[in-house]
Amino acid sequence: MIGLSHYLIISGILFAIGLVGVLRRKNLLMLFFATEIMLNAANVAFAAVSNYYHDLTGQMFAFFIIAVAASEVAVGLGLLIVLYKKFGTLDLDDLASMKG
Amino acid sequence: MVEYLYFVISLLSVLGGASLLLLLTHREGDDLYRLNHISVLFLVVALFAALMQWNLGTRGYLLEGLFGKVLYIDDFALLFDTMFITGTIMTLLINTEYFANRRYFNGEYFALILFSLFGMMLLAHSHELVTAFIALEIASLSVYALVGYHKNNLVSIEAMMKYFTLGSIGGILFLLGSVIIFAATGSTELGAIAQYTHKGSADLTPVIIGATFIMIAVMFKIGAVPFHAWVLDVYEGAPFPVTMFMASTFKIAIFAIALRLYIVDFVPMHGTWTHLLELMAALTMLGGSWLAITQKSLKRMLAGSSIVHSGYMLIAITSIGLGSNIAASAIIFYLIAYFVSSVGAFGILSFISATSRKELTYDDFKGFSERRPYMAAMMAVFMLSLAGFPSTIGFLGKFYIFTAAIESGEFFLAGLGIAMAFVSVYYYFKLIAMIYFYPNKEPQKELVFNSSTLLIILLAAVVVLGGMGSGLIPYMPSADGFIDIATAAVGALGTPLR
Amino acid sequence: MLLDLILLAPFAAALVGGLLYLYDPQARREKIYSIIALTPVLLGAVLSLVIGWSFIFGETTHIESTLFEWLHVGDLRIALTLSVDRLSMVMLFFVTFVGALIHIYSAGYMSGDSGYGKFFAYLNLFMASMLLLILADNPVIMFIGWELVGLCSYLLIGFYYREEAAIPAANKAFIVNRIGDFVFIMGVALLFVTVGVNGFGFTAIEASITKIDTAMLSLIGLLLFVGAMGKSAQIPLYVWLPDAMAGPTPVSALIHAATMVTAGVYMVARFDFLYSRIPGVGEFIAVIGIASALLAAVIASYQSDIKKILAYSTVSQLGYMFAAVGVGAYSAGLFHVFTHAFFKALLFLGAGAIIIALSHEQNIFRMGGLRKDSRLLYYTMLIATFSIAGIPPFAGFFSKDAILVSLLSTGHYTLWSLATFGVFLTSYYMFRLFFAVFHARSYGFRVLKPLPLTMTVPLVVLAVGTATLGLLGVGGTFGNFLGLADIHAEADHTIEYLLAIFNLFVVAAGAGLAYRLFAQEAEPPNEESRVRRLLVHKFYIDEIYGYVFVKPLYFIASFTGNLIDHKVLGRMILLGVEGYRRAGEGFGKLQNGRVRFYTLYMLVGISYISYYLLSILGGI
Repeated sequence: MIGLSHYLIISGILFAIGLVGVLRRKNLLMLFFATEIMLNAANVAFAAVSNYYHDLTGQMFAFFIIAVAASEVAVGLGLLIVLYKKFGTLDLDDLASMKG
Repeated sequence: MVEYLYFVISLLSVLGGASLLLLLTHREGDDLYRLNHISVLFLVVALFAALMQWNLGTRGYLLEGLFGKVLYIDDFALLFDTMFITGTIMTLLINTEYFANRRYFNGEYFALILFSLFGMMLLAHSHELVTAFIALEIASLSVYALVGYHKNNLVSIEAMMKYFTLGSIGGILFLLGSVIIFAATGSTELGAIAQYTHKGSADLTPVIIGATFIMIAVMFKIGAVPFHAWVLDVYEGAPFPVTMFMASTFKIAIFAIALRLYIVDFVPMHGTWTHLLELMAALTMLGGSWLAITQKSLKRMLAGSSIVHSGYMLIAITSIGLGSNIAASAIIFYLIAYFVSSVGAFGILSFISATSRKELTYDDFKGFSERRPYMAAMMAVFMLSLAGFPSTIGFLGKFYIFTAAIESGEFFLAGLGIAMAFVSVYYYFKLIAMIYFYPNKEPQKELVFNSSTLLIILLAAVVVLGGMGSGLIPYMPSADGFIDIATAAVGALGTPLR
Repeated sequence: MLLDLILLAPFAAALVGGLLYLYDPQARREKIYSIIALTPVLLGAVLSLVIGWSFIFGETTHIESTLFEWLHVGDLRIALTLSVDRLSMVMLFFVTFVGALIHIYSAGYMSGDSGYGKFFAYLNLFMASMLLLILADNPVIMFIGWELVGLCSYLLIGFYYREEAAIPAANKAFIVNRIGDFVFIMGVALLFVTVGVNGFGFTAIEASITKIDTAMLSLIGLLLFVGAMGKSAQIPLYVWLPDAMAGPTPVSALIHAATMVTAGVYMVARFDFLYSRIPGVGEFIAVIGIASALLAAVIASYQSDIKKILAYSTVSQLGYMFAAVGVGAYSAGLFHVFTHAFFKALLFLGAGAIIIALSHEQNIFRMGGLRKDSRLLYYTMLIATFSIAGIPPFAGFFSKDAILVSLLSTGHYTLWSLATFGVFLTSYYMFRLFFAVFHARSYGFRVLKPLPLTMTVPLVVLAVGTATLGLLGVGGTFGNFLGLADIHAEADHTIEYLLAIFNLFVVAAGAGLAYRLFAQEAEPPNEESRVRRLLVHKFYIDEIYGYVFVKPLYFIASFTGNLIDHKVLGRMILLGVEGYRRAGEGFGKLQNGRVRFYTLYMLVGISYISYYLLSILGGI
């Protein structure tokens, strides 16, 4: 029987994958993917908990979060295009003019 | 239903203004002065609406029939509303010239600022975690766009990239915390969470984990060490008006939800966090001052010093956890003090950089007192206040925080805080020294009386007046008045929810 | 309101005069300055007469006026309230009256000085502060006045700042006073802590004084008295007063003889309800007073500077006043304050006139034979000397007699006999001064500078006052009017008369000795014997203080300054600063601009926090 804990474990694994992605990926696009994965990990958890409590609010939240994630992607992709136009690369380690 | 609309006038006005500005723009060569004045008009309406409701004891859910128990109104939220709106008005009016001299600004800029303000106000009013998350994202996404607004400037884009990447992680942490709390308590509504945590019998472990994640997100937003790294780069990269907006207004926004959670909902968890907060307060003050003392650019110096100020606020948060009576109002007072002083300091910086292209460094201020004697004097006032010199509002702010720390037995933190205040004298007074003790090479400039200078003068007056005892000028709050305001705002929080 | 006007007028005049002076310090506007300065003071004198009239002939016993609430912090609620009762009425009367006369005198005395405007601004400020001290309704406001008069005293002692002695003297006065003031404010604070909750006015304190236990009360009384020691120049804090004579002579007359130095006595009398509950502390005050009186009198007998002699005599007379208030005879002490203000002001003003007339000669052994040169000075000084020595019917006789009677009738026989010896000494050194200046062989031919009318009129008025005001004390009129918490020890009238006659003999003996030694051939005191050297050098008190307090302080200061501060701390601070900067640079290196590192820092933070949570929640 698949219970709440299974969903939460999936959610945790997804979150960990996202976190590793954020740390490891040098490409900005991949980094956006990773953050999306983390957001969706939260979504899965919301939906699961909502199911567990037999309360629909959690699933409603998931929709809101998807909306937020979409707007974040909108801003992020805009940024990405500008970056690529200006720098000709999406490698994060090349973008380090301000330091100290 | 209709009578409740009265309470949302300020929110609606800001939202309506933002939408209208979005419609008015889209053209090359927008009349920036006109758009600026339109947005200020909406903001003034919102400010009046917020002030009208202040201190009436209003308390209750906003538009409960429509949204349920998601939005809340009380004096605490109204105080933050007032500060946000004031900060935005200051940002817009002081920088009138700055916008006019830059080609890359257009009407969308004002729309974004207003959207960000709307997000922050929503955050102050939100009484539910996911709503808070969405409000935070509305505010943050607008600010991301604002940071990268100068899209031909590499630094600006880099700053936006950094802020965006790290900021979305911060947002996700907030969300993660909310999920865990939702799982533990079965609700994300603050009243329900408070009932759950205060029940006494419940197992708080999952709530603590969730709350800690939310706390990390808050720490990220205020730039506490080790979540501070973005602050300097983002402040430096952003255009001056945006830096001003972030440092003064956006920085305090997160406190609107954090204090509500911390003072009301998370009271039983205070004990578990004490050592963590102590450590983080100490690290933040040290790290911030380390970053500030080595800087040459004033933007980066002020960014570093804003980290130090976050450290002071963390001291107060620690003291709240240890049961200090005055710590809560101390932190609100400190927020007001920091708000006024940093708006002033950044305001002068962006006012000066309106007509020059270069990034401002310490050296650029050599002989400033002869070039612009009045601006120099006011800059000195703001620096003194940020350093916490007596007879300025900054001194009283620090004084209350240290008093609260000592009251709660945090002698080490209070001592470290005082030591860091001494260190801060170094980097603030360096600027004063540059202003006054070096010869001038450029011709003197006239003080032009326009909205920018008048507002800066007003801020300087508030800084000085706020450092002094009783009210000298009617309707102009001085130290007593600000303390009353802070106490009233905290008082609105402290009472049990109905 | 009359009271507000009395207080605020001199403040305003000080402000206006000071601003006018600052506007153009070089301008010579003596007339304007003197009009600005004299108007409020004369007004004050008239108004205080009006108030006095309503007190003596009317039903009024108390006038009060609140200017504004000065401080309101928690329980502490201090209003700037002025109040006049009979005690402060007496003080008010002679301060404004003598003050007005000295202001008039100063208008002539200071004529030609480049700092004329500054002088009057300071003097007006002093008047205002002194009035604040007197009229204060609570100890905190009183303390403000107390501090302000100290400040004015400092400013005025250092008025001739180009002279070598002035600045050290001013500093000495300020520092010694500060010691007293510090202890005084501790006393006030302690008083507030114990009874301040129910209001902090004098009447409120009096009402709740019974709540304090005796030990605490004694401590408060002692602390307050130490403050008085500083202000009123009693052992061991008297050393500043003789040096304070470096200031202009009208200042010496007004501040360091007639008014400010009596503030300590006034304070003790103001707290009569407090001190009458702690007779032990009172005894101590009396002993200190008599000791000061004797010591100062002995030193005065061997000085040759006319102002120094008068300064020591002030210390000595203040000692009498403290002896009186110490044993509980408050009205006798206050009466002496009252009469002393007149005759000592007269002495100082006379001395100032002599000094001016002789082109700044202050050594009494270089004067000689002035009797022939100036009849006016001779007679006014004679009246003053008679008065201070205690010859009827002059004022000093009555007040000093009252003190001696009170000492005897309260059973303090030792103190009484010492005080009587002091009377002998007083008579001796005062007549010594008088004979040396006016009778002794003249030092050759000289031309006296003519004295302006502004200087002679105050002398005459004061002389009339000195001659007649003592009669107020006949039959205890003065004491009954004051209505203070006097100790009740009625002496037999026969004893009183016998005592008066005995005192007269003592005075005559002193005067006779002085006549024999100084009337013909005035010789300055020689330093032949060791004892005399000791006396001429004022018991080496200043030197002892120098060795015991100042030298070690200097040593510690230079030790810390040169070695610890410079070599150890300075180096350490430099190292600290350098280290801090290095740490900042190191920390800045972490700020390497790469966003992935920033994420890493966050993750490190999150990991640590998770670990912390686990350890708290019991996972590990």
